[in-house]
Amino acid sequence: MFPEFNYYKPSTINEAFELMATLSDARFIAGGTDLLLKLRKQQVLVKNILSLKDISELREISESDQGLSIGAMATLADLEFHPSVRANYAVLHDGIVNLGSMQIRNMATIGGNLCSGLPSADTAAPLLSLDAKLEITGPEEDYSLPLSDFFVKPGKNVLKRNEILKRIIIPAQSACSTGAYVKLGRRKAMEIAIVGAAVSFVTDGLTDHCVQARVALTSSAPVPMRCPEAERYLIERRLTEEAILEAGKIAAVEAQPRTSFRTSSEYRKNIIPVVVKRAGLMALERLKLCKSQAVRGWNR
Amino acid sequence: MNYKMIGKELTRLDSVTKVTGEAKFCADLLMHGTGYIKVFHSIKPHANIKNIDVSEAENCPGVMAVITGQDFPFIGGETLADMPFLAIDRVRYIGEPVAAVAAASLEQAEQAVRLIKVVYEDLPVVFDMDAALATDTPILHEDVETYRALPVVHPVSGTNICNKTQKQYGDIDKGFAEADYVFENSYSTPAVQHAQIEPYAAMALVNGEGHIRIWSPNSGPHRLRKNLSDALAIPLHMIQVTSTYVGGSFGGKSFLDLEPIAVLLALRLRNVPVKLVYTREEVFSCTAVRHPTTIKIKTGVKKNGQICARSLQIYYDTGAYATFGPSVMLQGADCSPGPYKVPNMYVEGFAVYTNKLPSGAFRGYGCTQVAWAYENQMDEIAEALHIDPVELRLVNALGGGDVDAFGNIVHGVGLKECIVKAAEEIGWEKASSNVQRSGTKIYAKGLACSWERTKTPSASTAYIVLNFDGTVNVTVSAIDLGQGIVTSLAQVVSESLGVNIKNIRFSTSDTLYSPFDTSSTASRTTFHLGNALIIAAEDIKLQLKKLALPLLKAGSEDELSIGDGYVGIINSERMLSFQEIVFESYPAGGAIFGRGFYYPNVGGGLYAGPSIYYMYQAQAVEIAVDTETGHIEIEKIAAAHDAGKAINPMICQQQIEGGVAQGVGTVLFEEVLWNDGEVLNPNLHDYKIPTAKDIDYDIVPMVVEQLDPNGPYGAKGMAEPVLIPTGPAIGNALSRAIGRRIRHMSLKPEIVFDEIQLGLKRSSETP
Amino acid sequence: MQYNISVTVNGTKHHLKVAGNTTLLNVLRECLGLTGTKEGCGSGDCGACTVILDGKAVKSCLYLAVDTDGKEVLTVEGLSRNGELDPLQIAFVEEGAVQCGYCTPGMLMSAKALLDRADGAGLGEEDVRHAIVGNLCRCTGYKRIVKAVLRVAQHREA
Repeated sequence: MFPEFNYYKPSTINEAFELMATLSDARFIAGGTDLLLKLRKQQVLVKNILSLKDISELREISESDQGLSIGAMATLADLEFHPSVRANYAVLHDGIVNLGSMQIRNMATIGGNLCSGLPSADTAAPLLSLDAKLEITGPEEDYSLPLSDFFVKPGKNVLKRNEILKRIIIPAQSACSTGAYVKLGRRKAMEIAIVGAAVSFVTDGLTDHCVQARVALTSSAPVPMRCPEAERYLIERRLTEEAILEAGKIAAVEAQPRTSFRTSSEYRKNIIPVVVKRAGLMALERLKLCKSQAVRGWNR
Repeated sequence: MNYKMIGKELTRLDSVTKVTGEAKFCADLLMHGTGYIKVFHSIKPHANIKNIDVSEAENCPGVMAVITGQDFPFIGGETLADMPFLAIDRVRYIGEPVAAVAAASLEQAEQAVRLIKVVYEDLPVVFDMDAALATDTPILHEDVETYRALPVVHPVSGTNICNKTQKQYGDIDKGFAEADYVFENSYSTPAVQHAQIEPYAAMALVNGEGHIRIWSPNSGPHRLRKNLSDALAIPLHMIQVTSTYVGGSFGGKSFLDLEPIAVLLALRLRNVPVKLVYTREEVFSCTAVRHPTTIKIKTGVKKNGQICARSLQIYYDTGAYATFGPSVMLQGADCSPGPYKVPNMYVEGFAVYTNKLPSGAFRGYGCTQVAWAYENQMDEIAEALHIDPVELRLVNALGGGDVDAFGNIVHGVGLKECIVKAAEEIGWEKASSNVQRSGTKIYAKGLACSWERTKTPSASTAYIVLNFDGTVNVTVSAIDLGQGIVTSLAQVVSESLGVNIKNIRFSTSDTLYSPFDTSSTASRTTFHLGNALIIAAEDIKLQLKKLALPLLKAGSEDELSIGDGYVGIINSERMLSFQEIVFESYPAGGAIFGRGFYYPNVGGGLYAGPSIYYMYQAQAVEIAVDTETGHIEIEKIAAAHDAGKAINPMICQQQIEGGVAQGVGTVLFEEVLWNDGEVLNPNLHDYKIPTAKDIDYDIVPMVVEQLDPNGPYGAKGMAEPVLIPTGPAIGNALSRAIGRRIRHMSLKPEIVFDEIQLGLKRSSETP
Repeated sequence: MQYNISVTVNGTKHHLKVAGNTTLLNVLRECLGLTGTKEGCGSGDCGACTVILDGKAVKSCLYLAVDTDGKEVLTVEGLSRNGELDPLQIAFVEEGAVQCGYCTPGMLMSAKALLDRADGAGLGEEDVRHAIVGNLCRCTGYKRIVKAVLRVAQHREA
């Protein structure tokens, strides 16, 4: 059972700030699938909970030339069934569809997944690979920062007590970009990643020459991480299986996975190259598919 | 034989109540004024209790009672009485119940239990069997030899051995002397959890007279009553166990777990119903697991693969208390030769205490662990002798009329048929061509067979009442744990009595009303209760004929035929329905009452002699090993199981499908992990049972019917052993795939990955 | 603190007073006596507590009752109407998808949410498995459950 707490449901962001200012021992809650568990296990004790569920502007998803804007309170299911996420941000879709179960995705939010700040956060690596930015609002100031600057340590992010993650902004992707996220668990579902890898490429559009690469990992360091060395290796190279595997090996060197009862650091290090390779190949496969469709469209 | 009901695929009689949500499981029972129980568990693996302070807890709002082991110094156990209901003066594992609170709400009980203060004095610990068996090691139960025990239980004084057995047949030394080759290997198995989706629960109520009522999902209500009666010194008739629906047991819901704690609080409170439901974390940290084992096996074979001698030392880690450990080990020892002709046999078995939560009954009952050993070794022998593994098994397999490894003649043995069918279905070719590489994957096939005993001797009783209107009420203590037993038994009654199944209604189990039955475990119920029901049906038929004699004006009973709800005169049109016979015999109202009691005529006491029947099975599997990550993917499993006679083939198939899934889970994903005696993964997130995406391969259930001479319509049990051959079949396939054998029954990706790497290293070193 | 909520469960509107820490599961089982919805873990791992909330399958053990204000809940008890079983319930019975029955209510609700979302159109085996991964079953091996759901999907499509 959960310990007792008071529950508030502000309907605007300002109302949320006001409540937070008046209540001591208070926390914001999003979908609750993570925080409620911690309350149940008494890992977190808090007297006042401020739910962001009723603030409708926090749940908006919109697409423009600038890219995709996702309200932090959008549920994972909102995104799973969003046509544009599936079509244009497949790497993020990969991260979402195998996160927990359908029921959890109906409840959990993308903002919550990021704010919980677990090293295994399945939306984090894809978003890192997409160069996502976060819009944060607080009573004093609004600001934005790259997702890569958001995580501090396991379970800890840069947000101050009274700040709210408002939106996640994914820049528009060029026509020649592609990406994929592969997560390896012991089972095929309901898993915390042993290792997860998100790979996003921009190619020159004609051959498989890499113009820009992003490699991000989950469960490979205290927080979800980018692998700059692996990315650098790929730039200006032809994206062959060998090249991607080599980038995976570099990523494994960059990673600092930990040993827990779930698995060993060595095993995680050993399979990082494989997971990166698989994500990379899946991304390339998508690019081919996309090109072949484009060619068919041209012919028509 | 032409049967009307036997062999028919009826849908289950209880499934409608389960799809509407009306089926009441124990936690669903709501009674006014209920006291909610929370248990205080030990945080120490081994310690003396210096002091328990419950005063703060007692003063909490809503608290009705707080009890400790001091208040109720009762010791329970079935095979060996060593376990206090609540710890007395000492704790022996992390999670052991120490005290319990009943309060007006669950929240209040939780708050109160947090205020209980226990002062411990640490004792030295033993966490594994090596440590427990060392000399000068801490002893968990100094007085083990003085505990009340079954005759087959032989604790070793001054050690951590709570049962030791030795069994032999033939001349083991001569057997090994005659062998052309001798193989010696050591295998081990980890602890796994039943992970039934329903957590453990119990309710109890004691009235002013001291009549004890218990509501429980226990698989053996009469056994529970007996064990409580022994422990509390309260006569049987004063204890009433009412069975609820059971959300899966797999051996788990068999012991004195929650019921005694609820009973103690009910005894204290009187006339207040109390309810205890364990959280998932509690289920994982203080209810039984499957015994971790270490098994040393030595087998002597002739050049042609014939086994001439086999000896084993088997060690079962039973945790801090025996629970079923002594008998699990005995059954393991009895099945340790495998389902083979072994002319010279020797086995030594040990059940060993350690400071971990108790190991207990788990589907397979000790036989899964020994089968992991003997079936892996069979493949090791086959490889060394260049004999096809299927052939090697067929050469040694028991057949009807053969003598088993302990000198018993076995009957109704469908083993060879199971092996052949499983091999055929998987597309078995000669072993060498059962491996294929495709990119980074290796595909390979493996096969294993096994056998299991049932609980012998054991009793079942049945009452059948033929009502005034020709309908039938059956009163039995069968527990439907999800295995579909009531449906199968209704088919037996319908067939044997000749009454439409729509007119038959089964009771649920309540020890106040429904008659003695040992337990719904060990795949014993179809056979034992089926036999009892046939006896009861015959009893009714005999009475019907007697009553019909004057009504039909027949000369003697030999002139009468009975069937399809009628008694008639042979070669005549004259007949009366059952209804007419009851009505005309007892016009003012009455019924005909049939009794059936079945107790197989097997010498010795419980677990002392051979099994009344043995269950045989074989499974063949095709796997794909991901050489880059060590993941094993199952492609297909062909599972052939000898059911004697399948009373309801669909139910047999369901049991095979579910059992295989459980078998795969326990080998590929699951394992209870400890750190210094504390369970590290006490939840269904980190204890990983298969999801719907993990069992997306083809499981082909095949039911072999080799009629058992003593079974009802030739039927025997089949559900319990389903998962026994699954592990070694996968292990054998894996070994064929990667060229290395993993002898610990945990084929998790990281372990397989390491073996693959080691194999690559070796092969690069040898030119 | 107590909160007033108004929630419709299986078509009946209830006005209830709940504490902040009360879950939807508590409300269903303890306040309304709807014990068809089960608790298997209390941590969102097993899915036995699955109900449909405004058309979506959720785990009621991790859903706060106070958040159900103004919402509609469907539980296993609401599947059959006037004693007539829902086609999904019939399929579960006839395909042998039920063994111990403890996961069944939650499993049915996940399946029902899937069928209602897509109206059965174009659903394949993968979709069904994807929808029920959060409903653990220890008895059946899932095969017959998947078959039962697909049978209803195909029927709806036709």
